[in-house]
Amino acid sequence: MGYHTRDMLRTLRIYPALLHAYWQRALVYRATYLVVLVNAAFPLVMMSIWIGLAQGGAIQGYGAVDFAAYYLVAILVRRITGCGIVREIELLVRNGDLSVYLLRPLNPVHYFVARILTARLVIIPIVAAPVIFGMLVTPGIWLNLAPLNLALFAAACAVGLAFEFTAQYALGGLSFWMTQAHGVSAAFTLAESFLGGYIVPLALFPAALQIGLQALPFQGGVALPVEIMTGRVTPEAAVARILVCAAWVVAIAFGARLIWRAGVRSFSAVGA
Amino acid sequence: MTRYLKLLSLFIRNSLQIEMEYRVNFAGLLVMSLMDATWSVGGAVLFYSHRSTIGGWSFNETLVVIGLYFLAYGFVDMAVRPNIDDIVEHIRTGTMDFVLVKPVDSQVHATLRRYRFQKVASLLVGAAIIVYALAQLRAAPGIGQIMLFIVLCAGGVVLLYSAMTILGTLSFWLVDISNIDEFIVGFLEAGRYPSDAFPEPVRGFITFVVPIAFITTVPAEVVLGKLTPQFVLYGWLFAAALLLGSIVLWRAAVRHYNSASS
Repeated sequence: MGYHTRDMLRTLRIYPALLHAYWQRALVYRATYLVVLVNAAFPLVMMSIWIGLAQGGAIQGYGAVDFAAYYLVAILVRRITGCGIVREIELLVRNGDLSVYLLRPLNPVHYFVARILTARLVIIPIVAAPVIFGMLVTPGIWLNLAPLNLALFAAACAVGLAFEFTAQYALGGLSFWMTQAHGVSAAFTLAESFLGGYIVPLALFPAALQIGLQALPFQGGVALPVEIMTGRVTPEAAVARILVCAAWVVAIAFGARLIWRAGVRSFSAVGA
Repeated sequence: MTRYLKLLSLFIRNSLQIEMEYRVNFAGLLVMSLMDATWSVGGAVLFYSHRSTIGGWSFNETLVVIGLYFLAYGFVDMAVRPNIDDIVEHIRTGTMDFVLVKPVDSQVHATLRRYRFQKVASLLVGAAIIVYALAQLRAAPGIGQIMLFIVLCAGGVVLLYSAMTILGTLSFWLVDISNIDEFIVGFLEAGRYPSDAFPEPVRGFITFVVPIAFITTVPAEVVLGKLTPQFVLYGWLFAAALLLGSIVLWRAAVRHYNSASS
């Protein structure tokens, strides 16, 4: 057995315990997750306006019901793919607590992965219940629930979460050198919301821009999973766009790794 | 009264002094506000690329509402949220005692104590958008309109202050609600665009039940000369009632409070 395989197996063995620990932690903080509901409801604002506009006729193939379906799914998808780890990394770096993680024999990234994954398990049911209720009481909402399509949806969500996580991990790594990494990440989130279909479906952008946005990874955060679920992408196109996002994720993960290596080196040099 | 005004100016000066110690991120906050404004305006551009008017509002008229949203958000971020955060923190750690033993009205001391002037960035962005939109519209509001506009903005300030104070006061009972202010900010999102752009029942909801329309849409109507007097009256009555409610609730909370430390 090679060194790397052994290393990987060891990490895999650690994961159940790690996930369990962070699951307990997520449960302790569940009260604050209620506030998440208000945040999560944000797409309803844009949904209402578009529904109002669509009463004068469908816009780019989107009727009132289609807007309802799009934004309701978007609420759920955002909770699956969205994560905020930059501020936490920033605090750990600033007050030196990161050294505790660095001393442990496991790469610090795994703690963040465990926290994000378990947080999802708490948040998704809280948000899914009202979303599903909303879908049931809105007549005419149609989702493509064929098994193949659900698999594509899951893949798109996974790649969206991976993009969000790696990008934020890279941005968090900037806090080894700057004090305002959370500001950069807030700017990133704003750009992502607008360019990734969270605020307005990509189909309503000018055609030339749409092509550009489909080549960027932001779509993985909301637009791509939602378009798959609402049956607006052919399977071939969906696979192609998932692969585009995956390629971005690999590149960003590589960048994050470089940033963290250099950062950790300079961090220990400070002697915190 | 003059005692309280003196106290207020002291609070403001003190907040400024603290702020000057950490004056790094004004530029960062300005960039953030500009980005936020970009998507807000970008959303409007997309609306208007598919429709020429929305709920009877033209693009430039909608810009006035967007500008007012940034004024309201900036006010909340600058003057209200820091205090609410402090209240929640005081209650959680037990230091609220030190506020309550001061020989001034405890609500004044707890809710008007801290300001983050760096957040003025949002106000600047909002004002710039409004001025730009009015210039595009070649609209020059008269003195009467401007007076009424100020009265309305004051009403919006009272409304936001009272709503936030009520939420903050709830932490006397609920203790760990660290980001409860997100509630107001979340609702305020509906003020980014004119209330007429929303279909019923949402429009009625944000006009009467949670009168966000009063904060951004109604002041915009005044400067654009498309005012509905009933809404002005209704909004101010609502704001006054909420202010009264916040005072009553604060008193009840303080009576109920028996400190985390003792």
